Formats: sequence, structure tokens, C-alpha cells
Amino acid sequence: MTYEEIKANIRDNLEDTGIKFYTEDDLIVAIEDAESDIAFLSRNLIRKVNVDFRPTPYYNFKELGVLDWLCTIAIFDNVRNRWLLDNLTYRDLDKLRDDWELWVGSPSNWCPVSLDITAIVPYQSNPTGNFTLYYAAAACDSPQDDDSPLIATSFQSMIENHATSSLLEQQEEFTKAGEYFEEFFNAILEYQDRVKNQARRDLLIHI
Amino acid sequence: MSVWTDEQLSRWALKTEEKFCQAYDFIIDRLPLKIQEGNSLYTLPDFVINIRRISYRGKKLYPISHRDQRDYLDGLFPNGTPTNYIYDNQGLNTLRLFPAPIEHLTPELYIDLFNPDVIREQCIIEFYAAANGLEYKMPDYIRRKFLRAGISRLAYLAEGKGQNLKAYKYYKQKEQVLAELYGDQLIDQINQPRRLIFGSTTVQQNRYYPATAVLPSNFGVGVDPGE
Repeated sequence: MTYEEIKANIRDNLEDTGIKFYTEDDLIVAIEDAESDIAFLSRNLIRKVNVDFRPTPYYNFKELGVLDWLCTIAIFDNVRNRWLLDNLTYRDLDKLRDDWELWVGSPSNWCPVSLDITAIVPYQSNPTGNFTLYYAAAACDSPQDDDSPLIATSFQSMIENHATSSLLEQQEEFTKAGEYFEEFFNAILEYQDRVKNQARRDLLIHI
Repeated sequence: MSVWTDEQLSRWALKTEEKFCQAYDFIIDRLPLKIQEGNSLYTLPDFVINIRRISYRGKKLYPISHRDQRDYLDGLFPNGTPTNYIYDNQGLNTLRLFPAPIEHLTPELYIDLFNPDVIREQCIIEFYAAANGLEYKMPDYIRRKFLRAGISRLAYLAEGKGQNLKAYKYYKQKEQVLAELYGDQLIDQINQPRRLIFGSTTVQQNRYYPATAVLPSNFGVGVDPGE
């Protein structure tokens, strides 16, 4: 489904195809809000970028130029050719050593620290090389009519439902808005599971 | 003419954001503590809700309760390099370093508290902050949508021409649903390890990394309760 079709569906839901009560901008803002929610709640947009190692365990990837970064998914060390382990929480790092912020060595682990900061430990005092950052990305702004949303086809109606609900509540049609929002809510929970368990069926041997 | 004033809307926005922030600890920040020799009591700013971690020259300080300090450390207050901090019964937003520091640490303005060179020289408190709508606020990608529901709820509840209890109920429900969806996702984003590369599906993986001491089953001398 293209964005043009989605907008047509939304107008159809609102019986607005001929009259155009809602402007094009209203629809675009509603669709952007919907996509932003879907991207944040399901983390379905995974991108990768190379980032240079720095002489600190803390990385704020937005400040390093990854502007659509939402959260880190995985990190691959291109120097040592291995994935960094991701089983530790921020508190677990204190179990390794209580001065882990000053721990110098070859990076072996990463963990989230806050909404903006990721920690890679240990850090190198004279870093060389880079790593590949796999991250969940925020949704893009200003969708073009010919493009299709980067969401599974069977779940693209989430955008319609979210946008229709948003536009209806602006006109104080709360009962109708609530119905469309409930459709979106149920679908987003299913989609979260689907994204998380993408390759679950492929686990032939459960080790 | 608008039914509600800008001041009202701003006040409701802040109230909505504060309420969400109190329910979900997601605003995390750091501040340096100005350490004075011999002084163990320090007052934290109002916007510090809870302490996440304290490091003294890069080494973690472990929290102990006032009772534990009295019971296990004889209630003494020696001087030395701090190893613990007492977080309760010291006063509102006050903590006590234990032992009391024996040096001065004066942080400069605008230092990078995530730089190892700075961490090595300072006492740094990492804390959960209260929202203030300016420096401490919700992430942009969810803020506008959540505040719209919260402000609408309060606006339609307020006495006056704008009151609409049906609308209030709708936005109240929407705010609750969004709070749960957004809040759970934010907490997951901050605290949960991804476990994509190193899973936790086996007992072996959980047991041996990070390494912990494994004592034999017959270690120690058994005691009865109350001994």
C-alpha cells in the first residue's frame, strides 16, 4: 500500500473524499504521528552505521551524527571481528568491577545506560578502528505519496486506524475515535510480538 | 477567543509530564558533588528524585541504610576515602558519605561527566530527575502525543466553558493507555539487555558469566535460626 492509498483510505473512513474538510497537512501530520508511534513501540526499523571507537566507555550516538537513533540493537567490532556481548545490564557492570568506567581494554560488552547513552566496556585509551552499530531508527518525516511504509503489509492498517482516531478526536467525535484507537492498540501489541519473534520458528535446536 | 489561557495549558503540560515521570524513572542525568574535606553530609537539588549510582574517583559507592551503618559499622563516622553512602534519615534530599572524605574535590563548570578523565577526579552522582519541561522532559518522539492527551484531560475537567466530562473520560483513558505503552517501552529501552548475541536460555550461560564464586555444597557450618 502506498501513502497515497493510505490517505485515500483515511478520507474514506472520515467520509471526506469529495469535501476535503481535512487538509493535506492534517493527514500528513496524523500519518507521521502514527508512524512515529509504530517505530518507537515495535522497533521495526533497523539500520546500521559505522562509528569510530572513542576513548570513553560512553557513546551518545545522536551527538555523533546518528540523528534517527532510538536505541541500540547490536554492535559488531570491526577491529577484532566479533559481536559485542549484550547480556549485561548497567547494574551487572558493577558486578564485574566497581570501577568499570575506568576499565581499559578490548571492548567485549555493551549495555544501555539511559535513553541517549550506550556504554561499551572496556574502552580503549588510544582507540583505533570502528564498529558497526545496529540500531532501531525513528520514523522518517514527510512521507512521499509513491512510497510505501516500512511496515509488514498485513499491519499497515495500523497507520490508518491511528490517523483516523487522531483526526476524529480533534473534531470531538470521541466514541468513534476510541474505536479506531482500540483497533490500533490491539494491532500494535501483535506487531511488537511479531517483530521480536521474527525468526523464532527457525530455532530448530533450542540450546 | 480561546477557552483556556496559555498559562493554564503550560501548567497542565508540566503536570502531565511530572505525573508520567513519577510513574516511570526514565530521565537520568549526572551531577558532580563538591567534596569538602571532613564534611560527610551533602544536600542534593530538588529535582533529584532518586539516586541511581554514585562514584567516587571512578569507584562505585555502595548504598547502606542508616540502620545498617549503626548495626554493622558501629555507628562510627571515621575519615577516609568514601566507600559507602547512607541514603536515609539524613534529611530531605541529603546523603552522607561514609567515611567522610579527606580531600577537596572541586568540579569545574560545564565538565563532561561521561569522560573517564573527569570521572577519575570527581565524585559523580547519577540520578533520576523530576521533569521540568525544559532540561528534563520526555523524549520528543512521544512527548507531543502524550501531552496532548494529558492536557486535554485536565482542560476538559476544569470548571468553566470548556468543561466536557465525556471528553475528559476519553482523554483520561487514552492517557492511561499511552502511559502504559510508552512507559513500559522506555523502561525496557533503558534497563533490559537485548540478549540477541548472548542469550540467557541456558543455565550454563547464566551461571558462569559474569564469573561468580561457586562454593561447594558442604561449605560453612550450619546454624539454627536465632543463633
